[in-house]
Amino acid sequence: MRDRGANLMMPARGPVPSSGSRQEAAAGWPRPRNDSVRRALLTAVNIGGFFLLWEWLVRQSGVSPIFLPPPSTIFKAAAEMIGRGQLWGHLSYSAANFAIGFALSAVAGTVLGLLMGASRSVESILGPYVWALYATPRIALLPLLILWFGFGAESKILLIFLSAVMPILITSMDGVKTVDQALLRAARVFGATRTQIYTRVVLPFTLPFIMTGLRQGVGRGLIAMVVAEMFGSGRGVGFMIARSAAQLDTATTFALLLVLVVLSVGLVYMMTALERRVAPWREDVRV
Amino acid sequence: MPAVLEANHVTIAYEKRAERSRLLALQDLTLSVTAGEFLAIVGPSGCGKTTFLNAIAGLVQPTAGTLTMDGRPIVGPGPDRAMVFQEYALMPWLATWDNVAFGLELRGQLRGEDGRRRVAQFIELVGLRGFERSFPHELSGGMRQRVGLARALVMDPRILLMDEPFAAVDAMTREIMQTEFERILSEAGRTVLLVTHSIDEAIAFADRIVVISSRPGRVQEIVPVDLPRPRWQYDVKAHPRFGGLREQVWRALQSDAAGGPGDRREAAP
Repeated sequence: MRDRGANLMMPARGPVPSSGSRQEAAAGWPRPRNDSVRRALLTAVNIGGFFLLWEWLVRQSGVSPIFLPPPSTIFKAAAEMIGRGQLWGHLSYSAANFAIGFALSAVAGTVLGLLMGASRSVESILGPYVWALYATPRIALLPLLILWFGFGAESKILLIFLSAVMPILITSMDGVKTVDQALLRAARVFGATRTQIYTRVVLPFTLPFIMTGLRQGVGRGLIAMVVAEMFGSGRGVGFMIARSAAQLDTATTFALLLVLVVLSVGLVYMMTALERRVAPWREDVRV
Repeated sequence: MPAVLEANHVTIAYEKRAERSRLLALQDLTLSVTAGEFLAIVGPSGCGKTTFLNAIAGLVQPTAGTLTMDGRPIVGPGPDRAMVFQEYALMPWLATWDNVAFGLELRGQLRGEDGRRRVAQFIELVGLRGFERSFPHELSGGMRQRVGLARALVMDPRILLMDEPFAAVDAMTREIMQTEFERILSEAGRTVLLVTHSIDEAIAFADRIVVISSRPGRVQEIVPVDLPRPRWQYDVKAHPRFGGLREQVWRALQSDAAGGPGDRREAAP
């Protein structure tokens, strides 16, 4: 970001009010709040309208509810599923597998990514395997994982791990490699030791990259979770989706999809909020 | 006056592995900076100015010749030298206070009241009180460079190195910053080495201007600037001798452009 204003004493942006900008600030500050309320309202109206239109179209056209159930039926199926206590067991099984797999991938991806970015020899040793795995659709490994680890939680956790670890590893590595050379030079001029270069410059610079990788990892991990449960499992949300669809209980299938949507949107939203907290200075990294 | 910094026949060459050739950045450069002096180095881009600064900072070693600070050869970075950078080079994740304290913290000099008081004192000196908790992206370019100046001065260096410190700010800010920096540095009696490609900036700042030829960089001419100080109190550009000085520096640069060897590379033996 380059300086565009000639005013020396005024911050380009930020919460520090100077005497000159106070008037602008008073006029400008309440707006974001209004905006977010208005945006939430718009979203609610938008989604509500979408469901109403869906309901109306299905009723008008007389499509079979097995093919496309109206939202009212879907919500009823969801309420029934939750009421019978059926959902929680499956959901907690899925969530536990996801949490373990994602935690492992976060640790391994960050550590390996940092090492590969920092050391050329580590990169040349691990590189071929990482890129081979990166290029392969990891879902294709599921049959092998089932063969080796059975139909239990292990094969699912492993697939979640393999899927989520890649974006975390790659973005961490990229972060280390793209460290601003000017910052490295400054740190060296001011007497930073080799260790200090890593702890005071490379690591903080890479943090927003790691956060981006974690956010992408959440998405990949959720895909792996559902797919692993759809094939060769007797539990989990993915299993419930596959079973309800096979039983032509389409309303339940939709209800489960709704649960998944809420879950993943919530997780990604949480990651984005965390990203903003951890690295408020880097907006360009956030994609 | 004793020399703080002395460069004796300094030559710096880079091995270019890809082309199997040597790039001669600086050739046989001899100059000295005395205590309290403002020396400006002016030259076309690619004349090895930045290489020279890196060598003084201790990031590169001369291929031939000697480079000494107070008579001792420079072997690496040290607290006796601090730098203000062209693109500020502030840590984006640190607020003003922490950026200014950066060098002290690296050297473990921040413990105790004394270090903290120094940080506050230099934030005050560059006029950034009240912005201690602002991050670089919340500051204007001019303010960011003040943070850069405070970060360097807080180290209390024997010599302050400035690498085109105003190249990244707009023209209006640059004029204001130049006089302001000149005031701060001359009042403190600092020894300064300024590298720039702006002749006006060099004249406004320096006691002597060293004109360096294009690659390989060599001393083309040394122009003494005898304008009275303090210069921030008057418009240097309106001074009757300004035009003559400007022309003298300009001619030195021109003669290099006309008869200079240009981009000379030597094949590896």
